[in-house]
Amino acid sequence: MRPRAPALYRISRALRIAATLALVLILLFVGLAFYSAAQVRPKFDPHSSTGFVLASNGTAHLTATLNLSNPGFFAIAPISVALQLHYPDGSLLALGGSPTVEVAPGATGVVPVSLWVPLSSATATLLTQDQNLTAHLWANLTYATLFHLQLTALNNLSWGAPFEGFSATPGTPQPQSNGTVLVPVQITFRNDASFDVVGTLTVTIADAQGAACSTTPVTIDTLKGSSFGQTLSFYLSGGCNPSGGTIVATYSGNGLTYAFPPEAIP
Amino acid sequence: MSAPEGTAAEGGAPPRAVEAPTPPLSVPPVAAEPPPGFRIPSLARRLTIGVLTGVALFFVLVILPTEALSRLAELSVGFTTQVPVGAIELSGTAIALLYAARPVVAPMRAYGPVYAAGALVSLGYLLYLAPLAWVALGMGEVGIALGFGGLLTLLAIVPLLSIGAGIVTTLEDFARPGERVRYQYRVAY
Repeated sequence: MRPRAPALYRISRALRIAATLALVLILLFVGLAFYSAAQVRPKFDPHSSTGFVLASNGTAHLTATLNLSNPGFFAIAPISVALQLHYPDGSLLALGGSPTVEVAPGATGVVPVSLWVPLSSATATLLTQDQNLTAHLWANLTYATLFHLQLTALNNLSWGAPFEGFSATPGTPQPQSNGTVLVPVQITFRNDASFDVVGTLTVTIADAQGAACSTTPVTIDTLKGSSFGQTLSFYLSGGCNPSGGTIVATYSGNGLTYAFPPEAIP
Repeated sequence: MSAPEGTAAEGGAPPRAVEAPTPPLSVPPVAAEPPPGFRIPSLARRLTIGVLTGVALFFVLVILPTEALSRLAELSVGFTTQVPVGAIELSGTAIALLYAARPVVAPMRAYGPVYAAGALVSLGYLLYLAPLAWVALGMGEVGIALGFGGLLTLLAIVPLLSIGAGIVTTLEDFARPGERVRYQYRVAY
């Protein structure tokens, strides 16, 4: 039998062996992690996105689904997506993103990405003017506990305004035999949005002092991609002089109430 | 630094063989307890191993990463990293030198401290790099950044264990000079 080595020598040797073993195991882990990571396949589901839809709270809502196939040996945990939408001048318009999702090894994870665009007076240009917006995307994920990956992407996003080119144009006032004055007002716009515009358009003619002379509500149901054109007839009493006044149109629908900029009556 | 007491001379004498009486044909020989024989490799051999270790480590720790960083920086892929090249060169060289010294001083009392010092520098290097361990590539409007600080922190286990081994070796060498060498260079019978 070989003589037993002294305790200190054995401890030192055991520590050296443990260090070597740890190094080998870590290197194997890294190799396996890279091999597994190479198997991950992200894929945006083209059928999951329906473009912007008008939500009932007056926001335009965009959803898309990212499918992550993870056939490897390690979990993707966590993964999250953050989105920012900017006006062409760079100012921030809207925020979005995904919840934090974990994708187990050997599974396919679904990352739902949402973006909410507030439609209000503060974002009036979105209602009446098509825009080329900039979408900024960040995706953060941790793979195999040790590796952090951050993806950033900048993308242009075309925004179609639901009331593109909105105009309320007054025609020539025509005195009527009964003493009233007929003022025709032509309302036109094109729905360039990816959702239908359904609601009520209330058009009011006000005199130069701002007092309402006549109001006419119009129900509108304009399909996406189609145009709206209608001439409204306002019969004003003799006591109301529209000259120098304004036409004020207000849209109400889908939780949204928006007053278009007043159009002057010559 | 001198070789510990009780060691054989460098390139020393072969271990003493035990002469057992010729056994009967039918009975297998019973080996007597051999005294611990050991043979310390010559200085030239230890130097050769040390130089080879140092060169290999210098290549892996200094040349390879700095060359990779400079090549990536030359590519038009918007490569950025926080890892300082100066730290790689300095720490890599120090680690390569200390690891190269290990086999050279292995029979001496300096082995434990040198072993621990190499591991300590490695540990410091890993922990220094861990929070800076990000590499990023930008291609047009798409960017990708990889952080591997967690891996470097996990790798710190290796030098941590090695520091322990170095400290124990130092204790052993100072408490019982020559004891380790007899076992480290033990000749198998």
